Amino acid sequence: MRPIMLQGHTRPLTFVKFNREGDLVFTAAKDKSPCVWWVDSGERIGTYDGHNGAVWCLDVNWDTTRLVTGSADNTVRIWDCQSGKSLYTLEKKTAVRSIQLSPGDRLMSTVTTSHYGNVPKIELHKFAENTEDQNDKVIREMALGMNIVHHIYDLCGRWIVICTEDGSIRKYDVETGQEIAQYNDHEKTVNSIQLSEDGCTFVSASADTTARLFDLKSMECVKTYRTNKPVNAASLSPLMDHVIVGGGQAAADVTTTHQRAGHFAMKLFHKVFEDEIGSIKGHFGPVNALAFSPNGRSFISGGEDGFARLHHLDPSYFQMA
Amino acid sequence: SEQSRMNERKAVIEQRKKIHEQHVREYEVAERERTAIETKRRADEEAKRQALEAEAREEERVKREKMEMETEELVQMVAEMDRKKGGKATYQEIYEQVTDKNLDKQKVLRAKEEQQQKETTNFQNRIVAATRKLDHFVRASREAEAPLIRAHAEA
Amino acid sequence: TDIDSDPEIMDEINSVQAQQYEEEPVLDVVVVENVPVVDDKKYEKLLAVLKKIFSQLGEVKDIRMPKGDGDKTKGFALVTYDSEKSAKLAANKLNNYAMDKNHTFKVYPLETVGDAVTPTDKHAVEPIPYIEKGFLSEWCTDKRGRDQFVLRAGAETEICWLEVIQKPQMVYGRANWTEHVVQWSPRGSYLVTFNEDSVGLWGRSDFSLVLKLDHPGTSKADFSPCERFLVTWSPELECRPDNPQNVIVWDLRSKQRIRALVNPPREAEVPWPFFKWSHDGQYVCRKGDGAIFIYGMPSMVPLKRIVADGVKDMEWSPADNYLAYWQPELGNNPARVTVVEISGSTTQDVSEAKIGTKNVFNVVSMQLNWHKRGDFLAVRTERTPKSKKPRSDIYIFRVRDKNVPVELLELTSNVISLSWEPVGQRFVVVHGDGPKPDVNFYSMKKGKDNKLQVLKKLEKASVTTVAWSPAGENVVLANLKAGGEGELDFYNVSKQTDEVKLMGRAEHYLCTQLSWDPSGRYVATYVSALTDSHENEYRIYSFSGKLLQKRAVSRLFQFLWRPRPPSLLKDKDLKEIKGKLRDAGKRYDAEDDRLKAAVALGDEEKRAKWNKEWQDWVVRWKTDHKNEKKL
Repeated sequence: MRPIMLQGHTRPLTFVKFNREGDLVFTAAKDKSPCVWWVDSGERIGTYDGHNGAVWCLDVNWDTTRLVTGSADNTVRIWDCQSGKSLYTLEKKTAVRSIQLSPGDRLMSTVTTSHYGNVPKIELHKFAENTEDQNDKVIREMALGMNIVHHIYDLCGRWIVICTEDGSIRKYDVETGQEIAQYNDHEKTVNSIQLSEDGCTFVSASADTTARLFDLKSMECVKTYRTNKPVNAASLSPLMDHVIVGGGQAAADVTTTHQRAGHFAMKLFHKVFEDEIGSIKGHFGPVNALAFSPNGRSFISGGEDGFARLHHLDPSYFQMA
Repeated sequence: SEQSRMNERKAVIEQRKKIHEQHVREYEVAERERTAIETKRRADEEAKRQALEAEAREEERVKREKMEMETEELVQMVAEMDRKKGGKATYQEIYEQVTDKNLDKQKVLRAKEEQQQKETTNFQNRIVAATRKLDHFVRASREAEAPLIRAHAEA
Repeated sequence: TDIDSDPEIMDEINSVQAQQYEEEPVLDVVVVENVPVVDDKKYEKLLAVLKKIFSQLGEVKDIRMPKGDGDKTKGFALVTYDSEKSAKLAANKLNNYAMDKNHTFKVYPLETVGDAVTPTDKHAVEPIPYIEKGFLSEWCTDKRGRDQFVLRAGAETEICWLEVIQKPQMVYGRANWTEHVVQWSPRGSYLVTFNEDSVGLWGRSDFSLVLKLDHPGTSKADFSPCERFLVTWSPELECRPDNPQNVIVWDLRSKQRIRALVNPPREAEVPWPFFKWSHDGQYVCRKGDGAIFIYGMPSMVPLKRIVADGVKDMEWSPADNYLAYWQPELGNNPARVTVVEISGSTTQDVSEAKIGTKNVFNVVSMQLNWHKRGDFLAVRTERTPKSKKPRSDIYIFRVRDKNVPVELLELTSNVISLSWEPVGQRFVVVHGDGPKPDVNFYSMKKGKDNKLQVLKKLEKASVTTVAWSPAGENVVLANLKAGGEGELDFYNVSKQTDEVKLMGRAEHYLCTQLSWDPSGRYVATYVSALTDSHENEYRIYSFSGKLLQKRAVSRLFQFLWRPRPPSLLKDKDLKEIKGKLRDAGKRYDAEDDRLKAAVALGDEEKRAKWNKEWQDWVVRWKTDHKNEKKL
């Protein structure tokens, strides 16, 4: 399995996302321009130029016509996927840390932070089919007085699950904005959460060096994957009972520089048995973002080193239990 | 007059003699030159031939040496393999073996590789056996020592 | 003046005392308290008065009156007599002597300051209360012949049995057991913890407290090889009225302090080990100024003073009461190594017999390196920098041979290290001037030239550490540079043929620590949290370099194999065991197979159970989902 290096970003990667068909992959980084790539060849198709700061998050709609991005320049932008044109800009009070389109692309939710005394919150907007009809109106907002790191929808768009800097994971009802359940056993910041393909479960990635698998409905932690370094991202394979986990000490916390690739190896765990079944080396900085392609035959990793690596899995991999 | 005709004739003859001498001299000069050129040519040819011959001889020598070296190398290799197998063949015997059987380098190399492979495997097997044996020995010793330790503690 | 609460006075006493223990006990000095406090003007006058008083009882060699702030004296004096007798007399006769109406002297021998027990022969005949400690070596009788190790990670300390078929089995674990490090005693009977007020010695099968030794702030502990005596050192001075101390020598049989004394209270300055123990604990010695002082145990009676000008260092043989020491070049005398045999147990019958010596010119320093069984002594020498030859050479004493012949091993470059095979007679020398040194293997077996033999030379190897198996024959050459790749090369040096062969190679990235288990079966490596904070992991290799297991342990500070006492088996027992090894081996293999099967079954069962749970869960989830949709 020789990964394809996606060279184009100049700063650490922040987020990666495949489109629904899995032929394209979108990447965001602390440079100002998100990129889109062919999954098969790793060739870059284009960039989305217009933001004036790091891009923290992105999402793509169901039929890959619109891309939404959230940036540290305090704006959300809606783009035409194909032409790369910026169609709409939404001003926010602070940097936008997380952005999601609800299933069915009816809503667009954004997460702002506590900068400049702002109350961090999730704000729900209508996501218009025709961008001419898009507006800035906030339909609903949820604030819990602490920084939200990331959020996801369930497959029906009934719930939003968020993870926070203090290590909690909470589930909200989209309609009422009411909190339904809470999980507080992570000891440190939860850096990301990702839904499984079937929508029954989601996996968290925490700085407490574990990734955990949750029953979305009951919000119970069902499995724990232990590593020896902070976990930044985790993704569930849609094909196999596998979880890929990536992370590493942030550069600022590292006393000695580790130039060796092995140091930031991603670990592959068996979803059910919780044991480590493999390790994938390559990045020479912490891994910030991970995603399995919808068909489970590839995955992409984005690193603090400014590289995205596209891994097409070997036939031998699929013979594994 | 007769005298003057005679004189004239004499003069003509003298003249002719001179011309003839002149011719002879010229001929001699030309002949010498020709000989010189010829000699030079012959010498050149001879030198060239000799150079070619020397070259051929040198080539022959290098080739022979190379062959000898190769044979020697083969002999050494075979000898080493033989030694490893525990054989005690003399140099002469191995030399004959190599030259008689007309062994080529590839064959010997292959055989050598095989032998090395075998040695590695043997060595690995030996390590596995030694690992087991050491473990067994340590366990057996500790088992035998345990009652002594107990007795010692009670004393 | 209250001399005990005045740190400056204590320093003064300490400095005299420190000298006292470097040399023979000073018995000819008395301390005088309640001397008038005077300034410079009156100093000489008071001195004369004191001299007059104290001279009545013997010849006074020296009187010192320490000064405090300004030029005022501190109100006490140290009087040195020419003999112990006079000092004792003074302490008797002049105690409570009234110099004037305000000053009544308190006089006592310096020896009684800071010495809990005066080392007299009287003490030796007193019966020593013996503390019953229970079966300390029970762990050595483990049915499966396993080895133990201790792990200290974060605040946790745990002791485990090493298992290679399954995960290590924890025997005992405890949080905040020690303030800083843990340490095994040399025979593995005790685990030592360092606590605020004391040193704890833990053992038996339940790791209960066997002995608690009160010594606040102890940071170092050094056992005698026989485990009967322990020296503890603390940077804190315990200023008891009659007893300032930071080095204590304990008799673990009785838990008594044999001796207590003062040494530089800063860690960087303390020579450690403070005392050097003979292999059987019969003697202990200490380097003084131009002499070595030998004390007899268990009462620590000063037995002998070996005069050796400028002596720099000394080492006991690990097997005999042979003491090797070296002296540097002094004047016209060359540098010299001497080996003496010490015998006798009282001041009357103690004797030293020279058994070997070697003079070496142009040498600035030496390092003494005994063979584990005391068969050889290797002396590495470092030449004076101006010498044109390579900076170092090695002299080897054949201690068991008649007249102790010395062989010279000349090398082409600087010697970095020398490591003896613990059993057997081979050794490895690492030498070189650059970052990639050469490694040479030697055998002491004499060759045709009647000299030691070179077995193999490895050129330009990245080797920082040479670690022989305690069973001999196998040796690991490792590169344990901090932040390095951690290359490990496992070599075998055949007992029969002396052939040096590479058995296996491994790499443990960033690892800086390597140790053999006591049986020579396994090698452990680990990345300590002291050198790197996030790849903390230990690994166990077979002696041939096969990775058997690894475990990530966050904040791993220590991994220490538990040492075992010397074997009680005799050579004939071992021979018998070897003879029956085939049958025993079959039994062990069968045992292992059973365990393997059980482990696999357990694993299999666990997996089957988990898998079923998971499948059930998925089915339940799907049904629920369908039902919800219907609604």
